[in-house]
Amino acid sequence: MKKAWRIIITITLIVILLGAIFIGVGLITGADTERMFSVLDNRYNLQEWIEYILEVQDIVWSVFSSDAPVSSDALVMGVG
Amino acid sequence: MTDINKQKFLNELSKLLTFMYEEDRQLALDMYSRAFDNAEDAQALISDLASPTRQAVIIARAYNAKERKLQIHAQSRAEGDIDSQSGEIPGFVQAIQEILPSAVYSETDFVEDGQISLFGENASETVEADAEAVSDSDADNTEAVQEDVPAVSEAEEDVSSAVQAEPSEAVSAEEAVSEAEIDEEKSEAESHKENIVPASPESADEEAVEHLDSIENHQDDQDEEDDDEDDEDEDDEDDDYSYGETVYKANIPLLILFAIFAIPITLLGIAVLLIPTALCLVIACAAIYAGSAILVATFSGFAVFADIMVMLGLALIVLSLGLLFLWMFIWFIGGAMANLVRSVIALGHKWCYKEVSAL
Repeated sequence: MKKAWRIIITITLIVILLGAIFIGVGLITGADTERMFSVLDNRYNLQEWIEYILEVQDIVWSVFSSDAPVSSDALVMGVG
Repeated sequence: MTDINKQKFLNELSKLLTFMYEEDRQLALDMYSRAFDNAEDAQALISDLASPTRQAVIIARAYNAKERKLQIHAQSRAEGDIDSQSGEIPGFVQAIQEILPSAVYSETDFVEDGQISLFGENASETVEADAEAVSDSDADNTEAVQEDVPAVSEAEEDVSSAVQAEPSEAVSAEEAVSEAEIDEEKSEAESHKENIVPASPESADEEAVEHLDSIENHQDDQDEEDDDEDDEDEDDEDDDYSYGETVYKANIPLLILFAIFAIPITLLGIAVLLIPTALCLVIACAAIYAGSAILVATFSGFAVFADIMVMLGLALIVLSLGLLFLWMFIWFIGGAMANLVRSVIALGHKWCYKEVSAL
């Protein structure tokens, strides 16, 4: 088990490092985050997924807290 | 020619001494080899020794595997060699030493050519005759061997104990008695040999082969019985089991009480561990799905190289996190829960079983 843990963590760290390098190279060479977000939104309806996750968070928060829940619209406005 | 006969003799003897431990067998063969090297006439020595079968029978009578095993263990504890730096000479070595000098220097008895036919033209016929004799071995020989072997082993014990450096009156008295017994047995063996050798050497060889095989069968049976007893001991667990010379006895009321409390607590622990297990599974599935989706979009939805590099990096990071959470899910199932159950069982063993010396 210990050996397996070591292998998995090593692979994970190497891949994360590789991903970080690729992101760094992309950002340095002129990547645009708004352009990328719009492409993903067109393909996978990313905006709707974000709204859905925030609503779930509000519900969970309202169950565990006596305070009034934060408005999800305000949060979406902030993200947009 | 003499080298060939010596080699054949030693090869035959080596095959017949397989009932001995390897080190003892090599020692015996070395002693015979040295005797051949020191003898002036190898052919005369071979005729004096009669046949490898005869020698094997004599060695078998002087050799007790169980006693030898105890001897070796005792010597290894004292960090001595098998040849006994502490002075203990094995019985079979003494028997060989008695045979070889007397065989080299005594007057040679008349020996028919057929007796040493193992090395001559009649080798095949002799081997077939021996094989037939082996297949028709008697139970009486086995009983006689059983009586002989303990008697010889007792004599060996007395002799070996007398050789040790702990002189006492009791030991000296035992020495005298054991030496007398050994002398009687030697004289019987010699007279028996003298009677047999001129009269019917081939039948003597057949009897020797039967005797040798009965000894081997007896030793094999004893070893099998020991193994069976060991297996029975291992199988006979119930509430008790043994480890080495101790036995673990269960405290039944405490065991029942422990089971009443341990089982619900263990189930509760497993239920608690199921929450992070399920969470890890959900996160892993989500991460792997998201990473795959990003990877597909990277190569199909983006045209700018910089955007592709950023998306590729993001996909790699998400997929690696998915792999990590997947492994955590597997570890929770096979590691955490399994260890919890094993720990509870070990705790029960520690509290509810008492180590008691075997009676």
